Order: sequence, then structure tokens, then C-alpha cells
Amino acid sequence: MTFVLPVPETLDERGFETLVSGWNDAQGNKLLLDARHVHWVSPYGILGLLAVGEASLDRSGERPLLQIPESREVTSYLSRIGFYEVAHEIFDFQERVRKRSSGESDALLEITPIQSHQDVHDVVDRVRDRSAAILGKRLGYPPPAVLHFSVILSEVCQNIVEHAGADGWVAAQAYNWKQRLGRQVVVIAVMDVGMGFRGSLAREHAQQYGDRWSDETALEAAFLHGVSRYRDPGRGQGLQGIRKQVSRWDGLFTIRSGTAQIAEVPEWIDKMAIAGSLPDFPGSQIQIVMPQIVPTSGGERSAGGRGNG
Amino acid sequence: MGEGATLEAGGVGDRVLHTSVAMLYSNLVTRPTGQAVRFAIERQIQETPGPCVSILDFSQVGVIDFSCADEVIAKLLSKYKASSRPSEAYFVLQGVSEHHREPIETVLKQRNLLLVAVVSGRPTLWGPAPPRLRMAWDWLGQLGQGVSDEFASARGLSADTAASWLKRLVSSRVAVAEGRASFVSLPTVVDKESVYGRQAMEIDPCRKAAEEDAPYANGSERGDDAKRWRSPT
Repeated sequence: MTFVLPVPETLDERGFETLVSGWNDAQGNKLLLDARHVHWVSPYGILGLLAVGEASLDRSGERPLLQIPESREVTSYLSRIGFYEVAHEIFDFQERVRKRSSGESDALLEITPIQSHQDVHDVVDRVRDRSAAILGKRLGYPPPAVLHFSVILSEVCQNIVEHAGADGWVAAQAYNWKQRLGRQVVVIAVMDVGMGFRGSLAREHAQQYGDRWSDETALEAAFLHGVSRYRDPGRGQGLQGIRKQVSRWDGLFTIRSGTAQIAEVPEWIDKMAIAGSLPDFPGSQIQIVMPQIVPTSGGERSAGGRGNG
Repeated sequence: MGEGATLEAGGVGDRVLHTSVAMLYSNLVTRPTGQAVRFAIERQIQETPGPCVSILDFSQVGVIDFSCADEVIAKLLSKYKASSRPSEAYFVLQGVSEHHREPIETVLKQRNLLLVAVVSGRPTLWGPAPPRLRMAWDWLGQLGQGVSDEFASARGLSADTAASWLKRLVSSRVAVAEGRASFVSLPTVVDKESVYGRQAMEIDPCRKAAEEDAPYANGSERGDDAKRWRSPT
């Protein structure tokens, strides 16, 4: 039996949650992801679609079907960000795969599979020039931010290689986050459908938590306390470093894993620092949002300010 | 110190090794890359007879992430700080920029290590040093070398306290003991090379060693994992 799962029209973080909920309802049935009515996608949303497809393939052994968006704008964007190249490994398409145009993409980082440490090197090498242009010129970040941005990318991508036990993807894009913040942002999305934080940490740490061991406590341990599955005391510093840096930029940093999500939350967004009882989904889904820096009336530069939704 | 003086460490200033840590990659990211760089530095030290100072040159390094900083810097310092260290080696970072500092300071703090870094030509002490220890290091740096009694009288301390601080600098490998009561700052040891007119050794084999350990060299496959690189060839 084929389970038809409509993809939300706005495929962002919220849309991904809807998608995951539907994925749970589909159980072991063959999935048809109906994305025809999608009219807006974020990097997190688009990687989420890939992740749901991959999780379906893992669960049922069958490639899910995908009906691609009808919107020309969306399909053009998907083409530019390299969605189809990755998607054809996961989905069965009903339509011809649209190849990426040979011209330069406007994405900060197109969808890039992360399978090895070499991929992490490639990502860091590739983003340097673009991130200098986008972070510096469009978002007003000082020059060292480009280097800090590369460190963040490196650490989040290594999280896949070192801990997920599965391949994953990364993408980054600058766009105008009009509804929530009223200014430009850079969004980094990183996803895998591997063992997740709970699975990664279980062997070393589950016992000490006893009945309290859960996706939430696993995320807290890693995110807040720098706990790693390795006993090596030098481990676990990557996430801590990202938290500090994103916080300095007044950015948002979220990790979803299993049934929980944890976040470093800036003032400009209403969001729970930790949430549980989400629809279960394998692996880890990470999002980092870096807001444009705007000069304040006193001449200082700030990324803060509450948004409108 | 006179030219004929012998350091307790066995003439640590006689060998100063310069190593570009960007020998393989200008961006030092990932643990396997850090491991390869560390192996190359260790091999360089092993091939050097006697004690040495290894100057790790960061001037060509773009980015260093936390993982790589831990593999290169923290593990190297830990190994040569331990009583079981394979030889007498001291480390000085050179050509570091402000953006290198946070990942390196983070891993130093995590493993409670100290390190001398030359920033804009000025030696600085990195790592979680208590204020009094940092003061002792500054003082020794100004003097270049000194005996603990001098230090005690200049700072109004008991001889035992002064000796204790200076010995902590030595055990943290950011100063060198010369005899039982005399101490030399690490930057001074390095500077002696020019004073004595000796040439610092530029070690070409380092690059070769690094290439042998390189995680991604010789068409290594994608989809590889860290375990493959754990054993040096």
C-alpha cells in the first residue's frame, strides 16, 4: 500500500515537523511525498525532505516516490541548490531530473553530502570566498566571522562523520527572513538519519541516568555539558564552541534528535530552550541562524531586536 | 647564562625545529588531519638527537577547528608533558592570529595545559594559568633567566614559594630549569639561536613524514572513517 504524505506548502522547520509526523503515520508503507504545492523552502526544510526520504528508504527498503513542486520558482531554487543531484539517490521521481545550471549558484553552500572527513575539508575550502562576500557584505559581519563560520561548519559536519553512523548533508543559504526577523539571515542546516544523540551516547552514559535516559537528557548532556561518547577528555568541545560563537552573534542554534529538540535561543525569537515529545525521527537535525548585523542608533552594531512573528 | 652553561634538560636550546603546521592543508580541520600533522611533528622530534624546542608555525594556517586543535596541540603537549614522554621537547607557537586563539585556548583549558605563543612578535602565555603563575611567567620572561632567590626577593616572596612557582612553569613546559635553582624562559631559549649564531634547523623531512601520514593522500577512498588513520604507517 502506498501512503500519500503531503509536503507542507511552507517547507521550513515547522513544515519539517509536520512531515515527520506524517512519516510516523506512514509506518512501513511505501511513501509518496506529494510536494506539488510547496511554494517556499528553507535549507532546513529541503534537507528535511531528503532526510524523510532516506528514513523511509531505510525503514521499508523501498525508494519513496516524490512529486516535485509545481512552482517554477521553487523548482528553480531546488535546482540551484543541488537538490536533484542528491534526491535521485533517494527518491523515485515521476518527472525528469532537472540538472543544476552550469552558472554559479547564489547559495552559500549547495546541498553537499557528508560521508567522510575529506568532505568536511572540501566544504570548508569551498565556502571561504562566498562566505566572505555574504557574511561581510550582505550581513555586516566583521572579517574574522568568515573564519569562525568555517569552524562552525567544520564541527557540525564532523558530528555526522564521527557520531551519526550514517551519511548526512549540509546546506547554507542567505535570505531575507522577513516574517520572523525583518532582516537577512544566513541559515546552515545539517542533517543525518543515523543513530542520533541518544544512540551515540548510550553506551557510555545511559547507565548513570537510569530511568531518566532519553533523547532530552542525551541532548542536554552533549549540548550543555559537552559530553561525548568518547572517554577522551578533549572530546565534546565542538558543540560548546558553536554555542558560544552563535550566541555572540545573537544567533539561533537548534539540534533535534529523536523526540527532542534543544536550542540556544536569542531574544528575537520565542522558542523553548528544550522541547520533548516531538514525533520520533532518526538521526540529528541541526539548524543555525545567523542574523544580519544592523548599526544601532548609537553607532554600535547589533544583531538583536525582537522580530514580528 | 654563559655560552658554556649546560641546561638541565640537556641543551634544549641546541635544537630548534621549525615546522609549518600547514604542511598538508592550509585549513586545519578534522581529527584525522590533526593526527597526521601531530605524527609528522612527533617524527621530526624523534629524528632529532637530544632535547629540542619545536616551533610550530601557524602563519600559513587559515582555520583551525576545535577537533584539530585538540589533535595537534593538546595531544602533543600532553604527551611531552607526561613523565613518560619519549624525549625532551618544548613547544612554541609562532605566527598565530587572534582567530586561532579560541579553539587552541579551549583545548588547553580542557586538558589543563599551558603554551607559549608568539603573537605579533610578542611571547604570550596561553592556557588556564592562575594569575600568580602568569605573573611568574611574565617576570621570568622579562629577565630571560633567573634564580629563584632573585625572584623571591624581587616579588617579596619566600624562597620556597618562588621556587615552587618556577618549578610549576617548568612542569608545565613553558620554562626550562637550568640546574637546581636557575630558570630560563622558553622564548629566551629560542632567542639564543640568534645570540649564538646557530642556525635553526629547517626540517624538510617533516613534509615527507606528513605526506606519509596524510589521511586523504594517495587516492584514499571517500566514506573512510577515523579508525583507518589511527595507526601510523
